[in-house]
Amino acid sequence: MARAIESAGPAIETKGLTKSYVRRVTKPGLMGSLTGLFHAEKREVSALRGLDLRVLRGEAVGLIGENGAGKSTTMKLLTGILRPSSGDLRVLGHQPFRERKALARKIGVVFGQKPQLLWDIAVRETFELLRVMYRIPDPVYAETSALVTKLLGLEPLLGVPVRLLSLGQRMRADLACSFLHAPQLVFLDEPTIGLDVLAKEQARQLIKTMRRKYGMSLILTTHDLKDITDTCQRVVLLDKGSLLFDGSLPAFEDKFAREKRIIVQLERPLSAAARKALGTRLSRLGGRLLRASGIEVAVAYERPEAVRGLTQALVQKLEVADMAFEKSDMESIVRRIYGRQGAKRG
Amino acid sequence: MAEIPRFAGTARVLFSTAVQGRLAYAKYFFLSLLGFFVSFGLTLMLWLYVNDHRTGGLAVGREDLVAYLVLALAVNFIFSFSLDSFLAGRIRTGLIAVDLLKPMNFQWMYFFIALADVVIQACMGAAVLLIAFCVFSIRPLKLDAAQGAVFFCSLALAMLVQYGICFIFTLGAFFTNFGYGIFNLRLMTQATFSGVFAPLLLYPQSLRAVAYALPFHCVVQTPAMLGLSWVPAGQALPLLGEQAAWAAGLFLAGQLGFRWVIGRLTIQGG
Repeated sequence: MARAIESAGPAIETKGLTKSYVRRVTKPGLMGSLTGLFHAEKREVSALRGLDLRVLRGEAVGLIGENGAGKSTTMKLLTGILRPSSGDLRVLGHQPFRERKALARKIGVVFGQKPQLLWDIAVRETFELLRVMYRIPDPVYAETSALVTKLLGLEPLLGVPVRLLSLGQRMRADLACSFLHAPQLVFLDEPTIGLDVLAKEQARQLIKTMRRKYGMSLILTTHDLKDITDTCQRVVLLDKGSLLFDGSLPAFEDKFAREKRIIVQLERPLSAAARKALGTRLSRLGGRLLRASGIEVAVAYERPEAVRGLTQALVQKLEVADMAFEKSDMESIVRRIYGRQGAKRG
Repeated sequence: MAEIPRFAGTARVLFSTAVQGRLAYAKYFFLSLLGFFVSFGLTLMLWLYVNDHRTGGLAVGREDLVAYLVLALAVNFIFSFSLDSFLAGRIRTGLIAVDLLKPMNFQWMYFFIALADVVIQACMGAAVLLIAFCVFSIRPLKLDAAQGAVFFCSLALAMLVQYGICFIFTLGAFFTNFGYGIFNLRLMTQATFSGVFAPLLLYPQSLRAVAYALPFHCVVQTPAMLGLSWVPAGQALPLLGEQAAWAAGLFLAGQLGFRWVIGRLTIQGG
């Protein structure tokens, strides 16, 4: 059943893609609202500033960035909901905004906070509507609906009206909807929002299985970076509408995650004076005291040649009970990048 | 040609799911009927009072006026779907984004959803009509086959005109991002110019000219007049033609307008 991935052309190609819009700004308070009826300041907001992006067919790309970085705007431009202000854009050979309906048949989309389920009736009725609307061939529908139902544990929910489902159940059902027509390209905007740990794992499993089975391309935005490390090979980092990084996961880690950590467990807590002295000593040796709270001390370093000096100093100066080395995880890398960008702006 | 049965299949399921959605709320029926009865009873009482206390009398006889009002109010009730209000809500919350991802013409998609409302309202309207005929001792509609065909044809065209009007008003919500103003404007304009609260014949000349220049009378007055045989079937063609022209014109304007507003869309709520 696996669809042969069309080799001709990339799944997504954008050149100098921009999107700006005008925002009305009123003064605060009741008087501001009243005067705003007649006069409001208009500000142009640039949500996306010249994005160049190329995604190959079958590729899985994680789109990350702070709130307001332009991730959702990018998704809406790529799916044809919004018209770009300027630049070139092709998705599966279509110009998304001009050929929205034709493109819609080939893509699956989840906007985490905008469900496509029909609110008042049972989940299976939405499935049925999507089956006819997307003209899904019977064998494909039989296979995909069985697969999503099984992998997301939807069987007991199919007959329940959507308004009676919990947020997590609704998210799972909504995620299922976007895979029913076995799309060539899936856009998932915060697909695991509101899911518990087990449901998140089910969602990731579904994404991986569907990609493996149907060769789907994937664009994923999320604030849970495990979604990306689990399902994507490539990361695109946006900051205020501009591209900050585009490359593989290992390249991302190489660029931003040179920092490693030594975590030391102590026999007893350090005094304030000992903490200060330790910080000074470690910085001379190429390290940085991240924290020394209770019986745990964390030291960060970037140059591998600093390890020997740092560990010797720690063992000599502290009553060490245990010691471990940690590589920065995706979460902490991204937290540091966002922090750096925020500091630059601030 | 293969597109037609596929389109019909999608339309059928859209219609069916929309009906199921409405049937999910039983209390809605009773409240909706209650509202209709209040507006229906008050309008009739008001007009009967005016008719009975005016020295000069009205241009329309008492029995004809009551029959007209019963039918006009029922027709208005059948077509009282609030598509513009519903869609404006989706624009305000950004849920419109999900609609735009469907591989179907937006205007047609919502037509079948509105049609579900019309069918449900028609079932309720028919019950109210029966009660009204008994309470006010009005002669039931005596339609021969030709007049009946003309009446139902006019009702179908009225549905298309009403949908076209609602859709055009909805386009305004793409600019305002908030639908109440648009919805109120449509309701008030429609109440004034459709002939629901009085036949346009009773309007002052200037107001009547405005009413006939607008499409609203095609939704209520035209089918009511044909249903009451005020215009014989043989002379109905110009009226049906006018309805058809408005329906086609509004649909086309809706298509063009939609293409224009969608380019300026901002999705609210991220």
